[in-house]
Amino acid sequence: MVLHVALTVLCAGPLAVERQVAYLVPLALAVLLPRTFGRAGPRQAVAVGLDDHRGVRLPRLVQFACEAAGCYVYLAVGEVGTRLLGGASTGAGWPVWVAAGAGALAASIATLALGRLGDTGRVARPGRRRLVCGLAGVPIAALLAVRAAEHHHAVVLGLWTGVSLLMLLVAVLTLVRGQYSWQHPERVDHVDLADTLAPRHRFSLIVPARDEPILGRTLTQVLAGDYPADLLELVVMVSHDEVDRPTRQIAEQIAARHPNVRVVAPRGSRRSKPLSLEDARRYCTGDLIGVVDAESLIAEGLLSYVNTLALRQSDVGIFQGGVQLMNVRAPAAEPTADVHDDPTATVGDGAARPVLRRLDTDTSWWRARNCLEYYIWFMSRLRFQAQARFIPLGGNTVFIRRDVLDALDGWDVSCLTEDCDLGVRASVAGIRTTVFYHPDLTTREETPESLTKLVVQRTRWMMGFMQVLFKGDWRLLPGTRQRLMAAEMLTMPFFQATAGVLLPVSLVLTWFLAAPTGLVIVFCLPLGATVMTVWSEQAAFREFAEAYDLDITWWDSTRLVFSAPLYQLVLSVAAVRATLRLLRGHVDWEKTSHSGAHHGAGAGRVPAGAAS
Amino acid sequence: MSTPDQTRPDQTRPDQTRPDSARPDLAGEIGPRVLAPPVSATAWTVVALRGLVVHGTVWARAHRHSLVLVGALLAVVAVVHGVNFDGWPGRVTDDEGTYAAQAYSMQYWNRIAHYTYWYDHPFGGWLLIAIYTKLTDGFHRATTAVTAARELMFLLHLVSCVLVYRFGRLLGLRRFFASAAVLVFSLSPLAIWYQRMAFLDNIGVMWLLAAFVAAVSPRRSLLAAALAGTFMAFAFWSKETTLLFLPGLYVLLRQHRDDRNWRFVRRTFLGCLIGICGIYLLYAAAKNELFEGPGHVSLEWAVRWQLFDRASSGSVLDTGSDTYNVVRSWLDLDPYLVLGGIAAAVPLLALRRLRVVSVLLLIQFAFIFRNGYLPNPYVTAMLPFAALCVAGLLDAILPRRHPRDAPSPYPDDTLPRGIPAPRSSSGVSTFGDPEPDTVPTRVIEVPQPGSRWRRPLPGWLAGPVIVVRHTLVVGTVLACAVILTWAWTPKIHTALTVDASAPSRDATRWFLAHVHDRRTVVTDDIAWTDLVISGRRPLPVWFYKLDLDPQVQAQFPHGWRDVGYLMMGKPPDSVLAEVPTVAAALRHSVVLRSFGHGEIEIRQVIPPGCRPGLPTLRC
Repeated sequence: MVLHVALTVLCAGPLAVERQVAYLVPLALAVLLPRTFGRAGPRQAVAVGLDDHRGVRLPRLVQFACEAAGCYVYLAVGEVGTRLLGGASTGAGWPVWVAAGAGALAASIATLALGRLGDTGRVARPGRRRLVCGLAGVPIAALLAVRAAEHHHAVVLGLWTGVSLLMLLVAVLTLVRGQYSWQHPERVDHVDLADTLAPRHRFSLIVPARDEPILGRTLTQVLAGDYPADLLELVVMVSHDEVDRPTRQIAEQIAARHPNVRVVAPRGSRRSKPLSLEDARRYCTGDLIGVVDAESLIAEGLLSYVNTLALRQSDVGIFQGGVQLMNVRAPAAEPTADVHDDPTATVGDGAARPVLRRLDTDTSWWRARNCLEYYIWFMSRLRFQAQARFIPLGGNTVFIRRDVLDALDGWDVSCLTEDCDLGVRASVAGIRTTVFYHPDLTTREETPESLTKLVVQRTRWMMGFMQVLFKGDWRLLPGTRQRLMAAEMLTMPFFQATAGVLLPVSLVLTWFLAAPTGLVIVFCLPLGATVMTVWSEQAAFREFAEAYDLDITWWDSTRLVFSAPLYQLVLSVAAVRATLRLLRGHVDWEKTSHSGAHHGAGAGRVPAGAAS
Repeated sequence: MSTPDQTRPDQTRPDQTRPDSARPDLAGEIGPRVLAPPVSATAWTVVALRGLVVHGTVWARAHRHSLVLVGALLAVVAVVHGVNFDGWPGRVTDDEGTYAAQAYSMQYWNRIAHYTYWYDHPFGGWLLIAIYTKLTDGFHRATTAVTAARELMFLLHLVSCVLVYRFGRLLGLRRFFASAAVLVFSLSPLAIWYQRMAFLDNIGVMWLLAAFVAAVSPRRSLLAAALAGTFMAFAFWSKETTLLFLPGLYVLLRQHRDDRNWRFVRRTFLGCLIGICGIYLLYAAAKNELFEGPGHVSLEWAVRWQLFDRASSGSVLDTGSDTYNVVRSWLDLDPYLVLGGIAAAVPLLALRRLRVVSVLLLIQFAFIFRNGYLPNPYVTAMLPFAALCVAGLLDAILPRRHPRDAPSPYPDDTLPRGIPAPRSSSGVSTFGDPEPDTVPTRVIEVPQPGSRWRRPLPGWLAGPVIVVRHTLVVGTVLACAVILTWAWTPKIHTALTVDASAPSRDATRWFLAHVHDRRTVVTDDIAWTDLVISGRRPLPVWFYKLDLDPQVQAQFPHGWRDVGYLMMGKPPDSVLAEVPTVAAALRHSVVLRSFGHGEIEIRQVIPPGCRPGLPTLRC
């Protein structure tokens, strides 16, 4: 309430917002903020026995109606006060104080009263209540609409300034967090390979596989590692259906030779990665459960290092290793054409089709950018997130203590990005995560086979992020900063969707609205931040090339710059697709599974021989 | 092992009212679990505040010697620069008034300049003045507009002094010499003269020093690089000529790099710099004033004029030229600091840690011989570098006592990289300061000049050489102290006592008290703002704009006959040649009142056929 008064007076006074409109700012905050970010705002009196800081609140609409009532009181009192004063209303005088106080008081009383009413369960007809509440908002809406129509030019400019500043903030935050690992020199080399302790932890590696011809190679490689076999257990998850028969056979052959490999093939037609993981969890006996994708290359010393980490950092529950896409250019060999089973593949006719396919699969302008994205994400961004205590985990090369996993109730089988979801829930539970990245320890993967597959993969990720967003676990995060960060990260798809259209719109607005010079500069700031990001990505690209001893030419670097807007466009397409699919209710994993893009990061299969 | 039921996320929320309760009970046999951080906002604030206090205390304890020293220095400097800051120097240049007037128009008119902004300088400098006057209500509080601007210069000077000290320390100077640098930088009559005046150079130099301090920051963090770039960009925004220092700044940043994040440091520095400087271009482009065109000013024209077309002020070697006179005036104020700095800079070229500073000073020195236009306050930017060169040379000559005699773990010529800054307790002892240096900065192994290419001196020679070097430094310091005290004291005394600005102030006051008719007054910029602030209508006109700004010209259809009064000193003939209308008005005017022996005159323009005694309106 005090906040109400203060904000109103602030707006009416120093900020020189029109007096009639001044109350709207705290109103909007009171309605929108508490549910999302804070503990402020009135609660219903009876808590249902939950220690949930969200409390149980009135429906937003009801709260809005209460605040609207407060607003009318404020306006009426303000009007009377001004009349009494003789019409000389300049800025914040005592009428504003009194009016704001009265308004806030009225709103609070109404909220409390309605809250009490709701507790006793006397709301007979919720529909009618909704109607009344909606009607209460009509005058405010009318007032706003009239004002907006009067100053539509200023409204558009103001809105766009807000959007620009928000985009700028997001861009700068992304830039800064992307450089977290290099912010101080001593932060760069954080992995000490020489520090190894004797193997003590028992690993259970879950390998979810579906239609993976190279599963055998992956398993052999893990088994050939330096970690003792009696402390290592592999749980290979395959499907029971016909499609997976060859994969299953490979797995069973290996299992016959190695006693510590167990092949699980549950029946059931609906298979997905989280479902597999959740099924596999029951078979795991080790105290560190790891997830390894069937198509990835596990580094040699990885398990020993994780063992050391787990021994040294007993307060850490989750260990996230680096995953790195490696092929900065397209494979030289002709890739196998299996585009036909991809429903999203561009369908051309006759001669156009091979051309389109070539454009789709053989182009490599986006591959370097994709690799770099992984590098920055795992080397820097995730480390920042781990330190900030909010981390969307990766789905590969992640090791979780089994009791932690059990305490978290395992994976959410209904989520498209079960890894992100698990990370969010772990962060909510206050479990620490250690992220380590060293070229010798990263799991190597390849970029998706084609641009289309990249879009499909990204669509799935973005849908998953939105699922996690709407699921709302992140609202339980303990710190406001964490919640803000979660909101920012989980809404990233929307930002990415808008970023693609932002700049053209900015230019158009500049031309057609004749914006003041200052605003033109503000409109251009997000672009500036983006250019700065691309510019400093060059440094990361060099680091990446140096770390993996890649042969990078100036053309690769240049192309990285020029591909930035195109790549952004691709991400925008994926974001739009994700939104549309979500709106149409296509949240089902199974729907995308037959597109062949169901295997988490790096959905594409590694073309034979192209793997490094 | 805990059961899943106990640990469902919605139940593991710590209750804010009972902070100790209901933490997720994840404890298993294998490792203790980490629980949520302190959650309530107040608890968080308390923790944060306590952290700040603890950090502050630790920092202050580590820097206690420097803090005390800087505090004492600032007290001296504040007295010397603060007393009579408005009175001395007098209102000798119109520029001060121009910047104050432009700040005024920013604050009250929301315009970048009081007349058409023509990209003479980027407007960051007077934006800062405007911010200061806005925060402190400067224009209505201070006696004159220029006084308000000078208040800001005083504050900036204090900041600059701290920055010079810090910069010196980061370059490896001992406290004594860093303090000496601050003192000569601040107490030189040249410094008092120029740094008290409201010049953009003072603002630019402060940002420049800040950029240098950030560039040599011992943590080598991206933040420091970003700050260095940002401060450099601010320096550009204040005074575009500071871009001359950009190569030096970059080299310094590079010298102090850490290879592990140098790629990012470099790009962050350049990105911040270019990004913020680029806003200037963007501003011009948004107003469609980037390139020349009919009917508007343009950045392109202004840059070309500044760089190429501006009339040269002659050669410094030609005793009749303006350049010569300007340099002469500097040397009359104080020959010691700048010349001493230049002399010290030459041997310092051999010393890596101070090479950039000395090169920058020498480059500035060389630019005087370029025969271009030499602005009067050019010397301002030389002062901190000259001070650091003098102090730096003495610091380099004076041998270090224990434990510097021990062989250095690093090669002399390279700063230690990749090694966390050692918490040094090595004594950087100076004369009066036998306590060990506990500043947690990276210790820079200070090579002795010339010695790094040679083997150590033979033993029998080492002792005498050290004695000689000690004697040399002590002798020089004592001699300097004596000479400078003798030479500077009278000038500082003048600066503290003489009120040379009185004529200008009195003129304004007299004009406001005695002239009440509604005829236009043409003034210099010093008086312009004061007249505007006191509500003089019609608005006074800055005499330059009468001839040079078409918009202003349009208000004077009858040329000089529309001018009512003139209030200014007599401009030099070269200026009068540019402004014929003003010259004509001057010719047809009589002096009403003169102040400061003709330093500033209030004149009434008498149209032909009128007599001085009659009210002009009746002619």
